[in-house]
Amino acid sequence: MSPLRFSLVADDSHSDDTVDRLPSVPFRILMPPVSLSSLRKGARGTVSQVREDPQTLGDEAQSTVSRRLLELGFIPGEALEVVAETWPGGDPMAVRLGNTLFALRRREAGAVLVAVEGC
Amino acid sequence: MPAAPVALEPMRLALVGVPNCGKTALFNRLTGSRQKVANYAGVTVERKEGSFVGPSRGQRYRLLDLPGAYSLTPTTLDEAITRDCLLGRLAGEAPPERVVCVVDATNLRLNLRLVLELRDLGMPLLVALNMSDLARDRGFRLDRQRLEQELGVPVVETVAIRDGGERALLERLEALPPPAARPAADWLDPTFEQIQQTQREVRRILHEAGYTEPARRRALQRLDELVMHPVAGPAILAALLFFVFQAVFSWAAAPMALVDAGVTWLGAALHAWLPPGALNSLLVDGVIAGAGSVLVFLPQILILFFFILVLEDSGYLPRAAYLLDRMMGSVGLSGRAFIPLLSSFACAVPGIMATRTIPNVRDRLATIMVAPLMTCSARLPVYALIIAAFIPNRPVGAFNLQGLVLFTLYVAGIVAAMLVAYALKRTALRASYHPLLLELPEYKLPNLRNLMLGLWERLKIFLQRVGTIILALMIVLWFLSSFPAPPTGSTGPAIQYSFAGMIGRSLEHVFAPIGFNWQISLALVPGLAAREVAVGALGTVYSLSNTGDDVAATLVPMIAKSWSLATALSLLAWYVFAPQCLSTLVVVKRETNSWRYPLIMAGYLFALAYLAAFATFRVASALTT
Repeated sequence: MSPLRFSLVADDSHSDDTVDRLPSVPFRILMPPVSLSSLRKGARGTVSQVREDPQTLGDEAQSTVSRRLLELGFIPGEALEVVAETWPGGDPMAVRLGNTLFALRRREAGAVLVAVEGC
Repeated sequence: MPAAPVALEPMRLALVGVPNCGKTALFNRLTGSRQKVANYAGVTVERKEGSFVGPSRGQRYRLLDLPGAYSLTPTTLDEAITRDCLLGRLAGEAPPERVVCVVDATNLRLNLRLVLELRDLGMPLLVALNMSDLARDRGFRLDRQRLEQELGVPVVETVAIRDGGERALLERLEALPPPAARPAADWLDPTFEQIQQTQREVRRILHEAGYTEPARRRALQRLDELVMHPVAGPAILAALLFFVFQAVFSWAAAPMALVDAGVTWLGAALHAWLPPGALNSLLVDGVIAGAGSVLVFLPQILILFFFILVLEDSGYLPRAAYLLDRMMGSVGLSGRAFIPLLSSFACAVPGIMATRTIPNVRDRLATIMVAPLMTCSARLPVYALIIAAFIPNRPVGAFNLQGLVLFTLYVAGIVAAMLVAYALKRTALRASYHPLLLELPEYKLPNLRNLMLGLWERLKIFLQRVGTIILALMIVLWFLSSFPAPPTGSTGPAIQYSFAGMIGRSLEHVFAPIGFNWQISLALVPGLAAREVAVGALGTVYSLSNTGDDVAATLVPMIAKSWSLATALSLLAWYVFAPQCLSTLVVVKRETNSWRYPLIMAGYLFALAYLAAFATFRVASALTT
């Protein structure tokens, strides 16, 4: 897949910066990051940040959507692509993150900010 | 031959891994059929343990298959059990002495974070790198030794679907130092920053180990384009379910005829061989006619479970949950409820237990409450019996009328479940919004060994039921039906004068408005223990109602000539709701820790069953006269 991720990882491991910053990638990211929930099928990009989403994912207070998103690998610099939407309404959606496919609703997707590729 | 001293106590191992990592396949390979399935104390999370002997020094092992978990910060009951067991916080469960973490080599980015989390617990840990053939075929690269160095724990390759690798795994395991101290009891959930740090560490390690992620296969991606297509996807799902239910009916026909012939032959042979009398009647009318009429449905139940296991193993089920999320959301259920509800088509008991993967309590309760409305395999014998007796076996287009009626009954159950869920979520179980976040694993060919072990487990459970509960009830019923003996000079069949006849006739007052005769009313009583027992009970009652020679005649023609169509349809409608399954109610009690929910469940199911049967009987009576 893209060599981008590995170089990023190497960068990050030597830096003290906060992870929320936009990675300085060597190709064009023209737009400010947008919410994953606004993306349609076929859109690609890289995760730039996971926002705090206090919605709990289970019955325990610690297990929030944001925490699980991070645990599943939605961390800055990871490439993702929206691969499917349901009909009608396009909700839930299916997102490929690296090599793994996830189904999530637009509302959960709202916690992920994405730097969209191309345009 | 000098043998190294061996500890007498078996070593306690725990198998951990994220869902879909190939953990179960490794568990099955290590332990074979020496598995014990039970529950963790106090909860209905299934506890699977197996034992085996190591290859080198005769060391014995007890291997605990912990529920799949993405993280030690749980979102489901399953994950909470895994964490608590590892941290030694689970009452009645000694913490494991060694932990084996299974990771899927094709998806290390997702798998390795859990390894780091476990490593930091300080327990003796070994990583089993599940190398599917897929991984090798798809240009996967990884320096195992380097990975081992970076992780600081042994990494052993295993190929979960083929033999090999276990020996190395066990040798490395035995070489691990014993646990230094109790695992960190003061373990805290990591902060967001710590999670991100761990994720960066995962990526650094993978980079160091020269890991190249195997590409997802093009063919599978295309398959997903189709399966998850907004229009084609639901159509495929509907077609698939329809095919399964048609197959349950048509594929099972031949083996069922065989079992039926065997039971009939055995009954006739025994009847001829034993001297006439009470023992003859007990064995022929009670045991063989009763238990045999349930045994006939074994092929259908195995075929249904076969399809459920295949769908489960192939990775299709989470996609179905994704497709159905919106529809299920419209009645207040989560897409995740699809998997427990589908299992409930086989049996509501495992279905209700599978609701533990639903993170929210109210969502979970609503799913539990409607699970018994899914047409379980125990209802199949009743449906099949009535359909065979009253619905002509003729083709309708490409399908078969009997299959169509069966499909309609399944649909009726689903529609009822949706309505009940809607009502519940509007009232008692009203809840705020609950998120959906679901991994869709890559498709894989179902593993034959897992499939066979799964079917074997089902077969054992079914035969145990037939051999214990059902058999005992049949014998009790036979006694009730045979005594007291009819007064001399009586003309009707003996059973009319027995206790069973009395019970049946008093219950008939309750059930007459919905068209049930006293035989049906009576059969519903032992049917409380398990729905399919009603068929056996009808077998016994009708077998005893007949005089002498008709004993060998099967149940189908007998009910065809003694019931009206309206009665038959009414009984079908009754069984769409049919509250009578004690094991379901007991599981609900255990699951919810109170009698409240099972009582509500039994009450609402009974009311709905009565109403539906009443309406059906009245309408059908009006139409057929």
